[in-house]
Amino acid sequence: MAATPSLQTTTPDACTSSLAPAGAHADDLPPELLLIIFGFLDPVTLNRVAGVSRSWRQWARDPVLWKTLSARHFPATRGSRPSTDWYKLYRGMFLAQVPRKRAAILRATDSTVDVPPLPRARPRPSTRGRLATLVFPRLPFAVDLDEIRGLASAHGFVLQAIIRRRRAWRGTDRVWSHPRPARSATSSATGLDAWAEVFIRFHRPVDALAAAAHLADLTFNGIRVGVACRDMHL
Amino acid sequence: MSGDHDMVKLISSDGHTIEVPEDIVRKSQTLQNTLDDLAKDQLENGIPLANVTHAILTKVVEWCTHHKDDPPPPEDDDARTRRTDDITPWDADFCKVEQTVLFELILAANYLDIKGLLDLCCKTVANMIKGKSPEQIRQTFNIKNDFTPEEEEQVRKENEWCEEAGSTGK
Repeated sequence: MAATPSLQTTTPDACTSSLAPAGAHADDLPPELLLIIFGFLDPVTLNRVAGVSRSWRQWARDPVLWKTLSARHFPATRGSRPSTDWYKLYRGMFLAQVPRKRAAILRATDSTVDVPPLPRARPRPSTRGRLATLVFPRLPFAVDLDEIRGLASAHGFVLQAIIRRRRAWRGTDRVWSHPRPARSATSSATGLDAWAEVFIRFHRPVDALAAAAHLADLTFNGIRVGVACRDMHL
Repeated sequence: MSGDHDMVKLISSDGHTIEVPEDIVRKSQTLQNTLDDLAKDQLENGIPLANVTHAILTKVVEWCTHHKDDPPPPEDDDARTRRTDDITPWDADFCKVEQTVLFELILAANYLDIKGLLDLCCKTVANMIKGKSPEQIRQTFNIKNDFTPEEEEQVRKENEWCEEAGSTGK
């Protein structure tokens, strides 16, 4: 299959013939310019770019690119400062999506049109699967539930622990919140009215433990949120 | 401003001098700063551009002339569009040049700090990358594959998460 791009072959430009033979090559571009070009690419193409050469791989994995993509496709990641790199975060968020949304993202990669946000999942308390619960004792109550969900999977996808079992994770990641009386100290510090306890239930205690280990440092607006496990029936 | 008819001399790296209306020159942030910093008599001899050849400078001036009435691009990086399918026919035609010229244009637009032209050329390159396999990208840009077979396999593995569900395949 001819891979020749139509752009430079179809139009022999009169202007170019007068050009000195020492023209620029793709490798002559400094990284900051490569990053501008890569900034116009979608995740699928960026991944292919990473397979081109060592230097292209390095720049195709640049955190700035994946931070931008994360913010566009997963707005919930905007406030987060994950300790993992943004490429892994994007990958984790992507894999944590239901196939329907994954397909939407991939479809959108052709036209680079932004994906509309998913309809909000209705949070409802589960009556089953009370094997293990992850508790965030203090999250700002103003935080949207979907945002918590995003934060949780952003920080807690713990690829090894959850993504490998993402089928189970998808089925059980019920998230809801309870209002809590405002504590003057915290609310004045953040300007938020109240804090919420957030529970995430897991079918398998090991998943909760693993997620808890990775969520231990979760901060929101600079305030450590903290996380605890309970209902553990090991 | 009375500067509409003022001409500015620009000297390319290969020694050619061209005269360009000042309002066109001011499309370049770099040259705008130069114009503002230097006194009139200092500009008499022209502004030397060490990194831009005559052929490229001519192209750049052509683009700036066509776009002289464009509103300035948004400063905010978030507001800048990430789309690559919004190139006007004139711009698309403008970019139908040899690849080496396209890269030189990118370098010149960056050096002269002309955001609109830089974005246009980068979008064009991005469009040349899209829809190709790594091998096709290498062929397109004549890039040497410096991966060891192990590294190549590693990258392929790393990429599985995105390709697996992708409809386009390899």
